Amino acid sequence: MRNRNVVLAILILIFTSPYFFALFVSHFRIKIPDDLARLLSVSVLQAASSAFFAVVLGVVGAAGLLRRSSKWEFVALAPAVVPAIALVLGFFSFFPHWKGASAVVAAHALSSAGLVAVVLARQIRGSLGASLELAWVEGASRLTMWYRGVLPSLRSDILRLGLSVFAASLASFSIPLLLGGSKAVTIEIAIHHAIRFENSWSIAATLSILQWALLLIFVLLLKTPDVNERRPESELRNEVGRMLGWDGAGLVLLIAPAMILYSLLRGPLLGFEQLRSAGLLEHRDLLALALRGSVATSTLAGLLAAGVLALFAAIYPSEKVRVWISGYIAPSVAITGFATLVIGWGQNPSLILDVVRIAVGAALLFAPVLWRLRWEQSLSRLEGQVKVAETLGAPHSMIVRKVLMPQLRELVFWSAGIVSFWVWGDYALGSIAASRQMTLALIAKGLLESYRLEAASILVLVCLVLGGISYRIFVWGGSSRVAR
Amino acid sequence: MDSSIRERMRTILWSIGITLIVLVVGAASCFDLPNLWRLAQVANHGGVNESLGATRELRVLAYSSFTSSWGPGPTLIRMFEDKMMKEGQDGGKVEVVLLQAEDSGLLLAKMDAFPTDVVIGFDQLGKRLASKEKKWRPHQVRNSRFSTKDFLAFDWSPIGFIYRQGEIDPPKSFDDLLDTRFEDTIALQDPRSSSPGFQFLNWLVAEMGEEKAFEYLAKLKPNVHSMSGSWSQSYGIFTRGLAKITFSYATSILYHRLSEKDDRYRFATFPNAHPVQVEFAAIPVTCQNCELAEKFLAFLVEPEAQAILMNKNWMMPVTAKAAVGSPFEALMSDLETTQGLKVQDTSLRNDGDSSEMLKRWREVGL
Repeated sequence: MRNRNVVLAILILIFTSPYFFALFVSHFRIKIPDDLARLLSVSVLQAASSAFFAVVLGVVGAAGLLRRSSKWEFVALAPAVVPAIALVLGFFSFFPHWKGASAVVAAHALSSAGLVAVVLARQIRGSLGASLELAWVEGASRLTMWYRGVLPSLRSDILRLGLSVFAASLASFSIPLLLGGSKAVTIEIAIHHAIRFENSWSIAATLSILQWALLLIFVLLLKTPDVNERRPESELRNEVGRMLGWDGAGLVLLIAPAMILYSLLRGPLLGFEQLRSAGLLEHRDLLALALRGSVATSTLAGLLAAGVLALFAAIYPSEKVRVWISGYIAPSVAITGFATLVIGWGQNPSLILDVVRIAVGAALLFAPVLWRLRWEQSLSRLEGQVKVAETLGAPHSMIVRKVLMPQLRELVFWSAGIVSFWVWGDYALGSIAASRQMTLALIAKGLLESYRLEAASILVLVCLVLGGISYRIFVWGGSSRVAR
Repeated sequence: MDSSIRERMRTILWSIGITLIVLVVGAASCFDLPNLWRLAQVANHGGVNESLGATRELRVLAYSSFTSSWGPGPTLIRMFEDKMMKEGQDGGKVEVVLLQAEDSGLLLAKMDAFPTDVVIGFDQLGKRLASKEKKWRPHQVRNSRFSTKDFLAFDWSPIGFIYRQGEIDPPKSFDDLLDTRFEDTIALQDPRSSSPGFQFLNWLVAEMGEEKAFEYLAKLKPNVHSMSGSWSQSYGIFTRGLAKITFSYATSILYHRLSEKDDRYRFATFPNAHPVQVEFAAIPVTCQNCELAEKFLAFLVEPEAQAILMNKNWMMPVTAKAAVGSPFEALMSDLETTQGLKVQDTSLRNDGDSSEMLKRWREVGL
């Protein structure tokens, strides 16, 4: 037990290390920026608007999903799952002049609307089926069923989903970095600016702790929506779903996937011409380096994140600690990026150091997200089995080997896969932590910033395809082992 | 075949596959396989001791558009490596590692994490901050235009507004720029993150004084189409036709003329002296390969390197003879004689507190 506590303490220390790093570099000085009130209002307003529009679009989208088979959920979830660079590319392609808070809100809302719609549609099909059947049989109209039945019943789910989008939007870095322009300075961007423009670690540390405290409050208020939970659906309930649904409403969920798809497929010929004029075809060694860098970074990040999560699971922390881990939403991307610079600090830069820095940073950022998304619930489901095994006197190592790991193996590999997929598209962390343009996403970011959109679309497409392959390899590995 | 055997085979294959991937990726990252391959080839030809024994590494830190494939960085380092190899003065191979800071604002922040021998990309303001925050080794290059004891200027350009001929009646002065015909047409840069963006703000303050400059900016607001974080972003907005004017380098028009064969791009000359953007390189006192760093700085102002800087960075060379007979010389001659362009280093005229200026700029809310 003591060993488990020591490992847990070490893990918690590692995860909170970016904050300690910021405090240490700032000599534990707290400095409140002059425009804190403005920063807070812009950040909260941006996050609240993102949540509001995501929920509105999500509710409308849910009405569309009710008329469709579950295969459509894949399309609806795509904007939330693909790396942010794909959606940003879509915005650059469709609305090249649109920058600022409204663009950030639109991107956040479109990215999360599908997730909201999927969760709500499943809730309607599952838990509301019986009561809606009755209303339907008694002849209630579609509108009445929505206003009197669905929305009041789902109020708490909608609130949870809204808070969830709010928290994610408040901590978002990748989207405001490229779409925010000079006006939409959120707390996360201000942390980045404090170090970049003023070299002020005390402001960065103050803001990051403030942001973390804000997020902690919101995350503890909500229980994560369970996207993976499926409830049995009777034929009649499907009928209700179809009656409640509205075909046209599903179109709102197609906006973001269509933008992404169009921007990825547009003008590949022009894209190659741009790659040539950008000198990338001449300096193929840079592309080769970036390809190697992307493969190495994403693989290592996936393995690290999954390994850390598996270690948390193996320790099997108490419920209180599990709630605390869920409350720890993730450290600031900017602070984490700068904190990873301590790896190999002052040593000769090398590709391996860059790879390790980004992989460690990605593991620190993505592991808490995955914990909330799937791990907490999976561990809770195993609680009964663990208790029985403990009562029967099984040592903890045996519980880990015989109970936890066999049932979590698939989740471990899935986690490695999804993190590796996300890291293929990371440019925000990499642009801070890397000493050179050593991933394809970093080159794509440079192309995007200089409006070589077609060339960027080629690289983003390559990142998504190779990221998808990387994900499949991990998932395949997990499933084959489970099958055995 | 029995399904359990098939599953087992699949598991074994997967394990071998993932192990191989991890090993190859790890080895590729740690040891740089292409280099190992080259070294193995050298070894087969009996030259391994020379090549391995004397390889020296020069670490050059620069902003991202300098290090990118479309910037001058990759070509310059290749030329420098070849030059060192040919000269063979020290009998060994030189390898230049090009490191990047996201933008020139991060050069100082990243210097500590990535120890470097040469830092490239300070502008006049960045130079002032750099000399305050870090110690630099005096360079040995003499008689280079704009240079100081520690900071070597390697390229420069007048800056001002660029437009496309036939698309808009060009602005003729600061006052003219406030005209309603320019409503929502000007792409500017954020002075906190962009060097030309700061030059514009500095130019206004130098010409009008701080109070009037900020009053002017408030009046200019309706004409500003976008405020980008970097020059490349605002220039991208301009070249895609979303904005009709942008603040940029006078030499930008040569890129379109020479590279795209597009002669519509023009520089709007104002009666006021235009600021010049100068780029500097410097050697930190913490350099490890200081002599090599000296050689690299000297190389930067040699005509062949200056030609690359002209044609890839699209900036004027500081070594005048590098521009002789080139379109760059013709451009400057045309701007000065025909259009009456006057230039000055406005950064020398305004030595005020830049953080206060930037704070006031934020309050304007552009």
